[in-house]
This record gives sequence, structure tokens and C-alpha cells, in this order.
Amino acid sequence: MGNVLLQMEDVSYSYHHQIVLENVTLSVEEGQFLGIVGPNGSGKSTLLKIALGVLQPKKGKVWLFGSPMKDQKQNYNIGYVSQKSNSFQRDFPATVQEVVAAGLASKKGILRRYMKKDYLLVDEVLEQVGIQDLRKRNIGQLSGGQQQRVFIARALISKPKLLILDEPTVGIDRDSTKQFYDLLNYLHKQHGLTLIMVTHDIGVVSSLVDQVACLNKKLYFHGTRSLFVEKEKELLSKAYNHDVQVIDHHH
Amino acid sequence: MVSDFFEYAFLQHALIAGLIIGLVSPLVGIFLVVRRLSLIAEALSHITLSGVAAGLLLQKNFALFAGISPLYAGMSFAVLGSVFVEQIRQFYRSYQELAIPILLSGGIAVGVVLIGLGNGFGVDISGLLFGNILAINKQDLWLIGVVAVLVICFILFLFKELFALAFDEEHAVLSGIRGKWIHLLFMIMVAMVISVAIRVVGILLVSALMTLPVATSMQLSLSFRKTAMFSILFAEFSILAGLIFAYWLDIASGGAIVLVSIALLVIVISGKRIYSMVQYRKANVRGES
Repeated sequence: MGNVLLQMEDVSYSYHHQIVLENVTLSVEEGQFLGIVGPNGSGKSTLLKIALGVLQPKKGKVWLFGSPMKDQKQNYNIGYVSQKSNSFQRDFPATVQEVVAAGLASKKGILRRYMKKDYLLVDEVLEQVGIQDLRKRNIGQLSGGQQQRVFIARALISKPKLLILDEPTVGIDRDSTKQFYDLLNYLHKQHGLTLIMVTHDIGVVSSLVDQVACLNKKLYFHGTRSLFVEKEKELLSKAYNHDVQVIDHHH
Repeated sequence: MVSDFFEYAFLQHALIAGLIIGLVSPLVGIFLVVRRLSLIAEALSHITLSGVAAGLLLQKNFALFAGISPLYAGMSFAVLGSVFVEQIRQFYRSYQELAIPILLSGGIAVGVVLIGLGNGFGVDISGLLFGNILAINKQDLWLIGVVAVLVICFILFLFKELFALAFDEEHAVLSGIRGKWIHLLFMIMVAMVISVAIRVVGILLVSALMTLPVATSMQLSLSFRKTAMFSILFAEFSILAGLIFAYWLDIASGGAIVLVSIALLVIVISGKRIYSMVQYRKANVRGES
């Protein structure tokens, strides 16, 4: 068994007495790629917010990197890419380099300026996500897929142990989405990065990730991809309460 | 004209004050603009009016305050107002601009009531509203200088945090940047810049100095750093040219400064249009041949 990075035990959460998560027990080991699927309002984003330490669970316990969540101070150990990254101000005057460097701001600490080695690090992560030639371009001039790569780079620059993605391909065209998944696969396989991704895309879950969690308030399934694929129909109809159209990605 | 400048201290004061304000206004302005809070400057300047009115009332009624510039009271009000802006912004997460009309009308209302209570104070109200750069004295100059040093240090030391927050507040806070405190300090800096910039362009025009040069340089689609530098360049040019026009044509200096910065904006936008038209033509000609 590998090193457990994230461990949730019996976690429940509610907004105004409405239960959104109920007794969820889940763990993510180092080097795993966990896909979380579930219908709208199934508590996926809430689960991520708890993992990120933004929300405190009403019940249950969370451990991150082996110590209780409340003792975590170094948020930059987790990289985060949201779907909302697509909706920043398009005219924002900033280059790719500036945006990616912003991912280092917290780690460097207050009163410290970016140095040459920080910009070398920017070049390094841009190369990793395959957009080093866009370094000096303005962020607003890039396509949705390229922008999302910039945000991956911004998340990677602080060298996180865990990368969390919340529906990262919303609003991105089909071809870019395919390339984006290839990038995640590369980061996972080549760099051994641990990833948690919430997605609507069942097709990608059954081909890309190695662990699947199927969520609708409760955890309906948590196991390997092959087990998920085996029981896919039955599980999804249980979690979604109806038949699901599986999006085929031809991977 | 040059000899006048060396002869009269008030002209030197005006120029120095103008150049300092031209440096710090766009420096804080750029963060206001990209966070879509440019109207905050407007609201805080109106609150400064009520503060200045309160300062004048104290000056009139209490001997203790006789020697103290009402600008200090204006600044305290603006700083308090800036704290409220953040509070009200928290109440309306997705309608954050509501903080602006609340503070703007509140500031004017208090100002008008206080000015009424003091029977108009017999002071130069139009100087407050539209600025009176020629009336800047040594004491004002010191205050402007101290504010400028504070603001420049703040922006330089927290530049990367301010940028990260402005670009993507959610991500910045998630990564561990203390957004709340930095915003609060930033708003206090904005309030201080406004209350000193009022001497130069007045309450009604002060937000122009913070936003117009930034709006102009944003048209150039540069990096954030360069956008900030060009904003400062545009602001300094507007102030210098505006002051020269004001002196030469004997017109209101605040108005002249703002008109020059609007002219710069128009020139840059038209220049961009013409440039892209020429590029388009060139591409077409190449395509035909």
C-alpha cells in the first residue's frame, strides 16, 4: 500500500440543514488518479472544498499528508484548478508568465520578490504543460484549452503533492479536451503526480483514471477503474437514479 | 513661463505635488481597475468631502483644531470608509458594486449637512470639488510626500500578492494568501491617495486620475508590469501638460489634467484602430498578389 495523502472518515456536510454529504469515507494514495463522478448537486464540489480545507466538515475527520486537516498551514502543497478559471476577465492585462508566477506567491511568502530562479521555474512548468512558446503572450489572447494549461502550470509551479481539478474541461472544445486529458495522463504517468478530478465525463473516467468514486450525497462506489467499468451501468443508475448516457471518447 | 516657475514657490509646490500624485494614483488605480472597483475611488472621494467638512466644523468650533488642516479629517473619513467598503462587499458577494452607491450618497449627504451646519464655512468649496493645485503649501506637500512613500512601499512589497488576488481571488486565497488583510490595507492606501489627490484635481475628478491612465495603457495589451508603468507615464504626462495648459490659457487645472488624459485615451484607441486597419490592408494586398 502506498502512502495515503488524503483520508476522509465518515465525513458529512450540510448547508442550511440540507445534507449534501453523508458519511463519506474515502482515501487517496500517493500516485493515484482518482476520478469523482456524480450528478449535479451530488456534493462533488463540497467534497473538494473539504479536501482543500476551505470548508470544515460538520461531522467526521480529514487527514491530509498524514496529519489532521486543521493542522495544515501550507496550502500550496495542493494544486487547484477550477472550472471557473475559464471565466476570469478576458481583458486582464497579464502575460502567461505573470499568471503562472502568481502560483508561487504564497509559497515565497510576503515581502519576497520573484527572482531569476522563479522565472526559470515558470519556464520549466510551461514546458511540462507544452506551452513554453506562449510565455510572453497575454492570457486573454489564448484559446480556452491553452488557458487551462496555463492554470495547470500555475498549480504545478509550487510543486504540489496533490493536484485537485474541479471539472476542468467545462467550456473547452472537444479537441482541446482530448489534449488536456493527454496532459493529465502524462503528468500522472511520467511525473507520478497524484490527482483528484471531479468530472461529468463518464467516458474519461472509464479510460483515464485508476480509481473511481461515485458520489451522490453518499459514496456509492470507491474502487479501481476496472471494477467500476464492470459494474458501471448498475452503479450509475443507482447514483443518478436513472440511466446515463455514456459519453464515448474513443481513447 | 520658466522664469515664473523659479520665482514663485506656489508653482514649484504645484508641480512637485502633481508629479507625486501622478505616480501614486495609477499605481493603486491599476489594481482597482482590474478588480472592477474603479468606482470605489469615486465613493471614497465623496466620503472625503464629508470628512473635510467635519474638519472645517471642528476648526470653526474648537480652538484645539484651529491649526490642523481639515485634510486630516478628510483622510480619516476616507480610511474609515474604505474599511466599510470591504464590509459591505462581504454582505453582497455577487453585487459588490452596491457598496459604491451606498458610500457615495452617504458621503455627500453627510458633507452637505455639515457644510450647512457651518453656514458654508466661507471656504473655497469649489476648490474642494474641483481641486486647487496652486493653493498647495509646504504642509500639504509634506503630507503628500509621506502618503506617497507609504503607498509605494506597500505596492512594491506586496506586488505579487496584490497581482495574484486581482487576477484570481479564489485561487490566491486557496493557495494561502491572506486576501482579507491585504484588501483592507490596500483600500486604506487607496483612501489615503484619494484624500491627498483631492488637492490636485478635486473630489469630482480624483477617480479620473486613478482610472483614465490605466484605461489608456490597458488598450496596449502589455504585461501587467508594463501596463502599470505606462499608466504612470500617461498620468505624469497628463499632469504636466494639464498644468502647462492651465497656466498658459488660465483655465482650471483639474479640468485641464483630466481633459489631457481623456485626449491620450482617444489618441491611443484611434491609433490602435488605424494600426489594425493598416495591418488588415497589408494582409489583403499580400493575399491578392
